[in-house]
Amino acid sequence: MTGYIVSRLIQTLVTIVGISVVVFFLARLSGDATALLIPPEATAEDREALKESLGLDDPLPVQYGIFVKGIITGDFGDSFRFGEPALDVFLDRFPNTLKLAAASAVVALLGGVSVGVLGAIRAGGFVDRLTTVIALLGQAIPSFLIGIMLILFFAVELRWLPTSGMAGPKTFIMPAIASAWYSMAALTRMTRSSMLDVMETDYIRLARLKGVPERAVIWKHAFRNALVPILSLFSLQIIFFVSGSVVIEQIFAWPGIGQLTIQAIFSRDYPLVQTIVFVTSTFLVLLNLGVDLLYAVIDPRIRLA
Amino acid sequence: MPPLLEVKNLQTHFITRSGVARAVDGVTFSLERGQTLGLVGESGSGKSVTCSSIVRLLPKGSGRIVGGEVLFEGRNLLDISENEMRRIRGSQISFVTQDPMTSLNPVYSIGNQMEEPLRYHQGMRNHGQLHAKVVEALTQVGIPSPERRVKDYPHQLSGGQRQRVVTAMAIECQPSLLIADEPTTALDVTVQIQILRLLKDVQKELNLGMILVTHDLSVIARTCDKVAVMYAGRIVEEGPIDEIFARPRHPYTRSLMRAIPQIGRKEDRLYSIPGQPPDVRRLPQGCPFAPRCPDVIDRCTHEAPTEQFFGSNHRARCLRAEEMGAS
Amino acid sequence: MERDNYWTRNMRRRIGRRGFLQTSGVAATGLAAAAAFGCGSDDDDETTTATATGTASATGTATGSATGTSTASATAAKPAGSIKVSVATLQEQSASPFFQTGGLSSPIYFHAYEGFFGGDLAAKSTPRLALSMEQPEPTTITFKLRPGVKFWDGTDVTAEDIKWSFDAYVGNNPPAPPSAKIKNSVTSVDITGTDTITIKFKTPVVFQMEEMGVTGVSRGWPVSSRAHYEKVGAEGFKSQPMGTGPFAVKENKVGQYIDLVANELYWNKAWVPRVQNVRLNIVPDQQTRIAQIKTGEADIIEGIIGPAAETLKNESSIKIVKTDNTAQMTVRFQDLWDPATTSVQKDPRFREAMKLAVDQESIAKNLLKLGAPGPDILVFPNSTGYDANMFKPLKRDVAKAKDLIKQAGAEGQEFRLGSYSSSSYPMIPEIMQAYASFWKEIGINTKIETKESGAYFTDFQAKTPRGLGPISFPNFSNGGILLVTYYKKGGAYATTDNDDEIQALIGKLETEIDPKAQEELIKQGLKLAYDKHYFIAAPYVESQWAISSKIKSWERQAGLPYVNSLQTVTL
Ligand SMILES: Nc1ncnc2c1ncn2[C@@H]1O[C@H](COP(=O)(O)OP(=O)(O)OP(=O)(O)O)[C@@H](O)[C@H]1O
Ligand SMILES: [Mg+2]
Repeated sequence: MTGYIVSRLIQTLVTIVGISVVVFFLARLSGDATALLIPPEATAEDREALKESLGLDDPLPVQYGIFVKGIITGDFGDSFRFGEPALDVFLDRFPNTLKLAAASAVVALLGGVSVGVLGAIRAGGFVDRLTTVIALLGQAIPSFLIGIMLILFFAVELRWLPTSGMAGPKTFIMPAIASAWYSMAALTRMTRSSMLDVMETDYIRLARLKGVPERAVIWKHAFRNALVPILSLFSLQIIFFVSGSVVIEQIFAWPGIGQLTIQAIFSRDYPLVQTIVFVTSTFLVLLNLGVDLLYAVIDPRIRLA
Repeated sequence: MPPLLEVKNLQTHFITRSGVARAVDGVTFSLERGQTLGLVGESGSGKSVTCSSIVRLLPKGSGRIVGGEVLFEGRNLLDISENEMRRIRGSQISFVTQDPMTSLNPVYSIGNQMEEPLRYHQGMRNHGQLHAKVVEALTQVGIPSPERRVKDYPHQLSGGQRQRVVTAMAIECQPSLLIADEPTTALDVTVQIQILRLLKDVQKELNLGMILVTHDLSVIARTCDKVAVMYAGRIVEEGPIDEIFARPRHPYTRSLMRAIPQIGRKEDRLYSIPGQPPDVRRLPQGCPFAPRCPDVIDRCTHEAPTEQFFGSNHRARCLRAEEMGAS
Repeated sequence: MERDNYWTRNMRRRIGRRGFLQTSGVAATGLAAAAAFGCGSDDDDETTTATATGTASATGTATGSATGTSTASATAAKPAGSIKVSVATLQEQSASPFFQTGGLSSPIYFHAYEGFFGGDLAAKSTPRLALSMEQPEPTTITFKLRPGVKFWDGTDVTAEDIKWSFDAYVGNNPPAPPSAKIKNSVTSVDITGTDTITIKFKTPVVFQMEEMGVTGVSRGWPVSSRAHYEKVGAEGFKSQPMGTGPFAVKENKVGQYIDLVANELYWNKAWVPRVQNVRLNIVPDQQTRIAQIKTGEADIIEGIIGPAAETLKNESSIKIVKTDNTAQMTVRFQDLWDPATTSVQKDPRFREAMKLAVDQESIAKNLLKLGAPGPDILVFPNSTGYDANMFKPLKRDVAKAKDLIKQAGAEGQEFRLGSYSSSSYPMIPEIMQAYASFWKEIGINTKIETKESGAYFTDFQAKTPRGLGPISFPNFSNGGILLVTYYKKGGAYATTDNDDEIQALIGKLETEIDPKAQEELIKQGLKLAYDKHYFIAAPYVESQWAISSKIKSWERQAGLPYVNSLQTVTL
């Protein structure tokens, strides 16, 4: 177990260093930052002065060094466009994205898993066919359409929920469903096929032969074994949730990082782009580490190998 | 007092796309406490389906028991509710399955899995009690240092040990019937003997009725009191072990005996009996063994043989059973 | 110290169709890049129609107190009630007066902050914190300050505050984009009396500082309170700023909403808001905004384009109101950037043919479902120098276009056609596709190359692309600034760099301080560009808002595409 953790930790660290390099150079590939920061009429001296004040006149390795030092000290520089520390600008929104990501993850996981399991244990039956339809719809209907349909139905027609914005728990419902939509469908299919595979195994048969009640056969014996592929798919889906969906944020006026990222890239706000991408990726890498450790908890063969 | 198990004219069919498979087609036998019945036959002859039908655990959807009775201690198991049936499984009727490598759940510890029958059938909740019971059962099947093994996971155990665990799990609740479906097929030859010895010991100790499914007549000879030979979903010959070995009355039984593998060699799935077992979806008219029978006569191809009795407990399904015993 | 000088004498007030509305240039200094939708001001049954019959830049000393609000009698009824406005922009708003980034942040700027002069509803520059201005010599402007103006907190606005605000504004890091202009042209800002401020410039100031406003119609910089700044500190100031506008910033929840509250102390009683509380909700998606006005979560929503407006027409409690001519788009001949080019684009017959092939009428009617055809030139109907008779939109004439193409020997030629998505003009990619098919009809092929807007603008400014490329502008009413900024050689979005005639004319304009003569020169300059076929226009577009029945009336500034003038809302 310790060996497993240590090797995963080292991998994680290497990945983070890699991210820092990629993030830094990718940000600079987006073009000249100063071009969009000052009006076209500004003089060449103005541009130079601006470059200097933004630290863009240093050679790239020096800039990278400053960036790395910043990562360690938690100082990611000031956003070119907001004039505030990039980390503050980012952290102002990241929790909103995380909250929605958590809600979406819960919806996707609960929805996907319960429907998928139901489909698997009633394989071939009506529920199973319904499952297939749901899974298909999830892939066929884009999330923005789902979002708008939800708004029209629950907000405009029924007046149960507010159309958009982030306020109470009520405001999480529609964006969470809309952003979980696709993942839920994918998880449904994955859960169904993974469960079907497991239900065929000898140990499920033996569990039944032992007189274990069906409920425990499904949730204790089968589900935990089916969980590893479900989790690996889920950990991929989480990337989408945590990176913030521009579409969902747009429709539900959600103050997340999706829009912020796009704007930061378009306006070549290097510090902000770097901060967003670096912190988000690092977060995801750590999350992935968490998932890897979770595998070990779920499956002793990984833990004890 | 009724016999421990009485299977009467059991019929289990599978409805498949390419037709109805009569996997078990009128099986009848009985078993007393303390007795071991050997169930032998080629692959696909319906041994496993017969065993599964007894506890009503057939593949969902396609498999159906369409007729007959399974009287367990006089009670027809085919009439009781699913919940009652579940309470019998693992407590009164236990199984030792074929492949110990895949029969244990890889993500739960040995202890955890062994506690289940106790929890579900005896309502035992107390951890200390459960632990003690599990250790006791493990000791009984000869697992060394059972205290430690309890915390282990299946992949940490050898095949033989795992089969011991499966056996321990089967006898925890003091069943009266133990069904072992090819319990040694997946094991090394040396281990096979140990496991067979273990099953026999356990059977004697608990005075169990036991059904032992195997391909190996030599195993039957060593462990069973009586033997039933299956072919194409039917029992073609049944009788006490010495009777059968001394005077096999069915040509199929005789072929099987000729095909007994040499000691020390891992047995093949298929016996070297010429020809293929019939497709149970398309059984021929007459005797299903006729196409492969060395002693076939004209009648065999169109006249279905009925059961003939020789003494009180030896029966065979062959038109020439009488002459066979004589030769 | 008013002098009866050249400029004062030339200051003219024109009478509009209704009401006494003055016209003037509108210096839409905002980055074209950061611009928004279209605009104008014309509601069916709202009272004022700001008809910008534009000529005559107000100049010299402009005096006056109340601005051109024609309705609201200066009753000092207490502001009451609240409204919710859903805006499409503002995603990166700052509440700080010194970091207003241009068009997208204008819903804050226009309500909370002011400079010396500001726009009235007719988009005419009128006195705000200044009472009047004088230009004793071409490089000096003196503002006489309006007495008794107070900040939201009730403290007086002093000359010190104004000077301090200048330093804070041009020194802000990062700089507010519009501040570069003012920073580069100003030599000094001095307090030359208790109520006068004198600004000295490096070069003669031709357009009375209008080109140095923050955005839209203004002169000078946003003014804030030094004492307040020192009290709350640099950080606190960002969330609790101070200003003099009709609304005070109550809370700025970045990326979500801004709460404004009526400033009852506003110096112009006619513009003391009738509504007490305003929440500007940031709702980027049009469908969601429409849903909000249906559910009552919004009282005003902005940015309703074409087909979407139709769905609201059946709702009895919702009304669509418009502001005309808020933006225009023109396609440019980019081969002309190369002075040595041998491209057929040099041939005026080719350029005319390209104009004639286009059917603006159908674009407006069938594609945009809004707007109206405009002349093939960068100008707005309310711009100085615009002349409806002189600059007529062309009627499509394929036969003539084909003939001209033949004459120019351009048949079968292919050009790159740039494309991007703009926040100020809808559906540019779709329109470019339509244009490509128009041109195909006359035998000219195009290859569309779409870029993300930032990169598109950078390339455009660097004048590197060749072929054809569209560019859109929000309403711009000072024709002079328009010519100097966007037609002059080297001008960021100019494509007339290598036309000596136009350049000579602009040269004259830059030294001409007589507004009348200025207007004449502007007209000539525009006419040259029109006659020489440098621009292929797309329709003028308008901005549409939906308002709930709760809103009795709301007047907006002419040509301005952003939410503005909420102080005029009556419930
Ligand atoms: N799930 C199933 N679906 C369809 N037919 C089945 C199914 N399971 C068993 N059968 C049919 O039942 C017949 C008997 O199968 P069974 O497993 O009982 O054979 P067996 O005697 O146990 O053979 P082996 O020695 O290989 O274990 C097979 O030939 C097959 O045709
Ligand atoms: Mg079998």
